[in-house]
This record gives sequence, C-alpha cells and structure tokens, in this order.
Amino acid sequence: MLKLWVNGEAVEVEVAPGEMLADVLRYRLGLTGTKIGCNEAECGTCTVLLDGEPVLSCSLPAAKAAGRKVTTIEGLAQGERLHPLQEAFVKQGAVQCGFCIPGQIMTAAALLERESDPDEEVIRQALKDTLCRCAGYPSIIRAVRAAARSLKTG
Amino acid sequence: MGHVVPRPDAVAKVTGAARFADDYDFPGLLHGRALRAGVPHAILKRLDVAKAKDLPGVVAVLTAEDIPGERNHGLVIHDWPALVGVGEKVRYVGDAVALVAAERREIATQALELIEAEYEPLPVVSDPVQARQPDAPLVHESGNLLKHIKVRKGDIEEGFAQAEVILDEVYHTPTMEHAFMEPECSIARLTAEGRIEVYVGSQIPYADRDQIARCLALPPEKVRVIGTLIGGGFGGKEDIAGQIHAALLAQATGRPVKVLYDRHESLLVHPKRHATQIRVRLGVKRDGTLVAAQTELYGDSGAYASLGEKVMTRATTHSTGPYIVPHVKADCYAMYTNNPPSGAFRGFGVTQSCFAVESAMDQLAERLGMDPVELRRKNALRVGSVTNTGQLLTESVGLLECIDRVEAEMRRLSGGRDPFKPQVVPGAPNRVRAWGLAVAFKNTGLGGGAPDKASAEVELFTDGTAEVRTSSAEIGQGLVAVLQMIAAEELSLPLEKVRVLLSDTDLTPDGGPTTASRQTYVTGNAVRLASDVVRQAVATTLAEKYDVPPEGVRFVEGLAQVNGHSVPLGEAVAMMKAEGREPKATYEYWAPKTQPLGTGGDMHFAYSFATQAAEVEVDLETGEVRVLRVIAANDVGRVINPLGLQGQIEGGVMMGLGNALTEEFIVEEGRVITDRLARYRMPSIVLTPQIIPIVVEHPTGEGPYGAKGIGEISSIPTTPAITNAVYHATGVRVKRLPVDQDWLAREIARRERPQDV
Repeated sequence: MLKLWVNGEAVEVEVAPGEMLADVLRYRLGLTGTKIGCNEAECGTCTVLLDGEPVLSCSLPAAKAAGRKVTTIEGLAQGERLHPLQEAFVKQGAVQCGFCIPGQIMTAAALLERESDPDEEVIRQALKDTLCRCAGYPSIIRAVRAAARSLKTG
Repeated sequence: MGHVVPRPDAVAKVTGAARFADDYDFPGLLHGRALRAGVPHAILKRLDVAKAKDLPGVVAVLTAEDIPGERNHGLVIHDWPALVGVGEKVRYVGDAVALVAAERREIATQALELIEAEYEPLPVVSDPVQARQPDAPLVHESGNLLKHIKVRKGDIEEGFAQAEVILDEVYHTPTMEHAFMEPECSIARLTAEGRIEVYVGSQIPYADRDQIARCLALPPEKVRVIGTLIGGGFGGKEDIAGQIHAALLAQATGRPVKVLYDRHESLLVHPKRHATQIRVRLGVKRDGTLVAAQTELYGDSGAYASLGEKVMTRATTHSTGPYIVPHVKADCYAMYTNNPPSGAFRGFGVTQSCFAVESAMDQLAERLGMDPVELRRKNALRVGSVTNTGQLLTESVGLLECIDRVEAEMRRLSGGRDPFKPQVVPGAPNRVRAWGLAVAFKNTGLGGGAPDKASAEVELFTDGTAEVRTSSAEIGQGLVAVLQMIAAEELSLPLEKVRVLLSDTDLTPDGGPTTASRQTYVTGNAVRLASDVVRQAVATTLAEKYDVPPEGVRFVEGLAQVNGHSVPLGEAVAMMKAEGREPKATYEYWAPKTQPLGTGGDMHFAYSFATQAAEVEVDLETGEVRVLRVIAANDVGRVINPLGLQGQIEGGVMMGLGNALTEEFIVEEGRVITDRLARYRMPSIVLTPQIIPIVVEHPTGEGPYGAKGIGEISSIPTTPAITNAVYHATGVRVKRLPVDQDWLAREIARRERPQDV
C-alpha cells in the first residue's frame, strides 16, 4: 500500500512493483488530467509537482512519492476559480490541441513559485523540455508572463 | 467575426477535465496489442500463437484468418492489410501479424513475445528512385509505381528555347514525423444492441467507420465511431491506426478493448511526410520573366498507398510555385517502397516542392543579378493569371500584398541595410546574420474533381441555446470556436449560447475529412447555411403568429423582434414545437465543383497565399543556425477568429523551422532508426523566434464571410525562407534538408568568410 498526498488529500493506493507515478495517477486514481506523451521522459507532457518540484511522472517510480505531496493539473484551481496560469493560457490562446497543456502549466506553476517575475529567457529555460507540437510557444510565453503579473497584483 | 474569442474547449483543457481516448475507461476493459513484423520485406512463413494463447490473462489472440471481412483497409486504395497472413507479404516493419487482448497491458506485451513468427526475407526497396529502376524488387505485384502524375501547360521546348538563362537543380527532403503529442488510442466495445462503438481521436470519423465495418463484415450502420478529443493530428490521424484492431478484438472477446500505441509503435506504424527528390529547371528572360518550368519529383510513398497519390499530386501542381509560367512540364513518380507508408502531413506535399522551387528562385535571382523579392513580384500570380494547371484566377489572390508587406517590414527591421547581405554580429565576429524570403500558395479543399461537401445540423432549444453538430474534427486548430462563432453570428446569439458537438457518426452528420485546410470553408459554410435555414423557420413561425412578413422579424442578441414585441428565442422555439415544427435543420453544403488534373479549368475552388521572411544568425565556426525573427504574411481571405489564426501562424512557423533545421525521420534499408521520441529532434520553446504576423485579407466570394484555409499555408514557406537566409549569411546553398550543422560548418570552412559591408 502506497501512502501519499495527492492534491491535498491523503491517498492510499495499491501499486505494482516498479509502477510509475503517471500510471498510478491515471489508471488507479482516475486523475487523467496528467497525460503520457512518450513514456520515455522526453516530452514533458506528464509533468506533475512532487513537493512543489516538477517531475516527469511517466518515469518516476510511484514508490518514490511515498509520504510526499503530489500536485496534478486537477489540483491547481481553487474550487471553481482557475489558477492564474490556467486563466492566462485560455485568454492568450496558448491552448490548442491541449494534450501538452497540463505539463506546460505544471512546469510553469513550479517556475512561478520560484520566481515571481521571470523574464522571457527564464521562461524559455524553464519550459525547454516541455514539448508542444501545436507549437504555440509564443502564446505560452505570453501566458506565463500574464499569469506572473496577475499573481503579483492578486 | 474577426474578434478575439477564447476557444470554448480551452477551459477543460487547462483543468485536466478534457478527455482524450486513453482517458476513457470501461468495466471489464481489456488491453489490446499488435505484434509488428519488424522486418521490412518478407514472406510470413510460419506463425505460432499457441504459447501466447496459453498465457494466463490472455483472452484472445487473433491472426489474419480471424478477420471476418475484408483483410485490407485504405483511404483510397485498399492495399493495407489489417493483419498479414501466413504465406503473405510483409511490406514494412510496422505491418501487424497478430493481435492479443489481455487483462492487463503487461500481459499483452508478454504474450506478444511468446508468438513465434518466421519470415523469409526479400530484397528491400529503400528509396523511390531505386523503386523505379526496372530491376527493382516489387513491393506490390501491381508494380512499384503508385502513380505517375503529370502537369502540362504550353510547349516546354518552346519555353526553354525562349529562355535566356536556365537553372537546373536537384533538392532532397527527408521523411518527417508528425510527432503529435498524443499517441494513437482506440477503444472498441459491443453494445447491448449488437453494435460496435469505437472511441478514437480521428481526423475522418466516417472513413474510420466504413473501414472498420468492411473488415468486420458489418454494415456501416452497425459501427459507431465516437470522436474523443485529439491530441494533435497534422494529417497523421487520417489513416486507420488501432481502430480495426480494437474492433476485431472487441468482437472476438465480447469485452471492451483498448488499443493504445506507445511512442515506439506510433513512430513505427503511422504514415509520414513523403521524402522527396525534386529536380527544378527554370527558364527565364534576362529581365526575370519566367518562360518555362520543368520539374521532376520522386515521392517515397512507402509500403501502402494511404493518401500518397493525392499528396504527391499536390506537390506536383505546386512545384512551379505561385508564379505565372507559360510553359510547364511536371512529372512526379509516387513510388511504393518498403519504408513506413507516407500520407497526409500538414502542407500535403507542398512543403517539399515549395522548398525546392523557392530555393531555385533565389538561385535564379542571383544568377540574374536581380533582387530575389523583385523576381518573385514580377512573376507572382495575381487576379487574371492562369496557373500551371490551367486555372484562371478570378479573385482572392493576395500574394502581391503579402510580398509587399513582408518586404516593407523586413526592410524596416533591417534599418536601411540590405537584408540579404551578411551582417557580422557586433562583438561576435564568428556570427553573421541575414534575412531570407520565400512565398507559397496552397489549395483550400480537396479539389481535383473530388466531391467536396460537408453536412452540419443546427438545432435550437427552448432554453434559448443552440447546438451545432458535424463530424468534422477538432485537432487543435480551433474548429470548435470557428463553428460556434459562425452559428452565433447567423442566429444572432451570444457565443455562450451555442454548443458544438463534433465527430460522432451516430449524432453528427458527415463533415468530411479534416484535411486540406478545408474545415473553416466547407463545414463553416454548412453551419452558416444550416443556421440560416433554422433562423428562417423561426421567422416564419413568428411572422404567422404576429401576421407580418418573415422579413419583418429581426434577431438581436438572443431575441426575436417582431411588431414591437421582443420574443426570447427559446419562447419562439417553444411556439414552433407546439405547432409541430422542428427547430432544427441539416444542411449539406457542396463546395464549388473542381476539375481533375489534366482537364484544365478550376482544379481548386480557393487558394491561400503567403510570404515569409526569416532572419537567421549562423555561427561560422560551428555551423549552428538560430532563427531570430520570422515575418509571416498570410492571405486567409477573411479572419474569423484572430486567436485561432495566431495559433496556426505560430505553430506553422515552428513546424517549418523544425523542417528546415532539426527534424528527420531516419529509415535505413526499411528499418526505422528514429524509433524513440528522443531520436526525433523537434523544436522546443528555446528555438522559438520572434514571430511577426501580418494578416492579409483578400476574400473569396464563396467562403464563409470570405474565409479560406490557414492550417497549412502558415507552415509552408518557412523552410525555404530560412534556408535562403542561411545562404545569404554564409554563401552555402542548402539543397538537402534538414540543415546539418556539421555539414554547414564544413561548407563554410571551404568558402571564404563573407565580409561585412
């Protein structure tokens, strides 16, 4: 039995030996907001936060999350109120097919926890391993900047 | 129209609520997997599935004999076996030979390893030029030539006789991978009524339905395809992937079956962008007037036809560029090989031929001592021009405006310097910058005589809302928003009152394939006209009630105004229902008729045009190329949703950048080397240049509000704009994509370093 915190709730879940966190989240806990794009730690789509740090959940053995706090895309909004990043991604047109978006937003959320006002270069470096094939990268950069502003002003 | 509107599907996509195929679960779900041949060309001699069947947790193992209906599928030619049988031929590494359904995915994977398959290897056909040699091994018994495509205009010999300068060059483009972020996934299940439902993110739900039905020997109405969200398509989700396999396994087991590709399988199996060899011969007068253009194209269509003939037809008809050329001869050989099949990929062949002809135009300009922009302007198609297929362009040709506006912006950003001369970066003598420019055109719609139609249904409800239904696919391009906007406009409803339901063969009428940049135009028109019919029906009801002519009813923001009364639309709908009238309509819209290639006349009902200029910085020591800025002008007829347009431009430029500099799907002797995502270098956010969009609107009369396609044109001229810039910066002409950094460094070293001016 694996015990961990997922989106603020204590969770106990049975996992197979070697099972990855993404599979546990998606197929055992039904948190399908976390997507698997390559399953080889290459595309960044499966990014979730582990104790606030971005990790590639497709390649992280679930056992390593024992006793720790996992945040997924489902845990970002406060009830009905979207997180400023979610709001900005919608408004700036950064969402196209949408498959990579949970990974983009979670990676950006970790960045904004670290830096309240990242410039474009910092955003690029933070998101460099999170691929988007619709390639709305300029809109993603605009969205992260807009979210940073909105977080600052409240 | 033309106002920035956030897409209605975006909120679910940022909260994690959005459901793609793999996000669905059903009680008793089994996991299906296919055994891939792994050899490029062979006879399957023996297949033993006994051990796999005996593995605990395995519920079914199927081989070719278990297919109840037709063995083959295919969008045009049914030449692609769902499973290769014993004694039959494997034609590429991704051919499936057996299927397993098991309680868990790991068990299915384990079972695949227990299947014994023996092959008798055959000699491999690995490129399209080899494939055309008389002694080449045959991929299909019918021969290796899928299609010889010809374009003829004027008298090519007469044309070259008039030419004062002739350029003759050969270019190569590699196989390319869509690399949509969502790997293919299909879930099939039987219903209580004995039908089969297939959940899949597909670009052509009705074609899926028909292909599944044929293989399962069912009438099409026994199959329902339910479209899920699609995590990127780019043309790569038009052919069958796991749909038939999932359905076969569900039929055999009576349980729901999910067939999810891992990335490796996705890379191996689905059709790619055609690798090409393109020879371009241009004849020109000293003043820059084109008089003759001859092209010869070889396209690697891989093991199966897919959309290969159509893709290479588009490559061929666009191979002499968006130019007025009196004498044209183009020949294309679309060839079968033992490589993964090639099919639709954003640009549909035009990406490749645009790189060739736009490189040639720059080389020609240099030969003539002429400004490359001026050479293009002089020959650019305009209203009144006749294309190389004999089509008289009567409207909506914004190419000259695209050229003018991009040139003006490029010169402004160059601050008075010649943008095509190399500039050494101050303080960094190893690094030089220069601009390059290219133009393009791309058809909207299927064209070539293919019937091009879309159906849409619009229904009003008593709560004052409307629903739009069509099978057309949302693959990220923003169709939901476009259709919502069109219905809202026609019904005078606030946007949030309009819902859009897509891609369900039971609930939505056929919108046709999501391909060829056609959905805004074709399905957009179907929605516009269906909305119009519904609106008129409402007007008729109210006109009778209030005894006014139907023209006397006005619609404003969800209200019908008649005779001094303001009737909420929902109430009007209730009145209709009380009278037994249906507040809904289905409209089957037929796009203007087109003509087959070779018959003259209108091969396409609309074309989009574009010009792009790219500024690159090249490190002369390492050969590293960085794209700094891209100016992209697109004539889209009329903008419907600027936010969607922005996404198409940004994404298109980035895909063209990858095509130019980083991406290559490597296959050697039929074996896939690029079998993991890590081996496919697609651009990340760090390579993103500043993208400066310029919107050009030359409306097309029949398009909705004047709109034509944007999805492909936005990507097409980027590659040659970049490679032309590389030439201007370094003097090295790129004739083979992508630009290999080491190769470029060596070529630069072989030349004298360009001098700053």
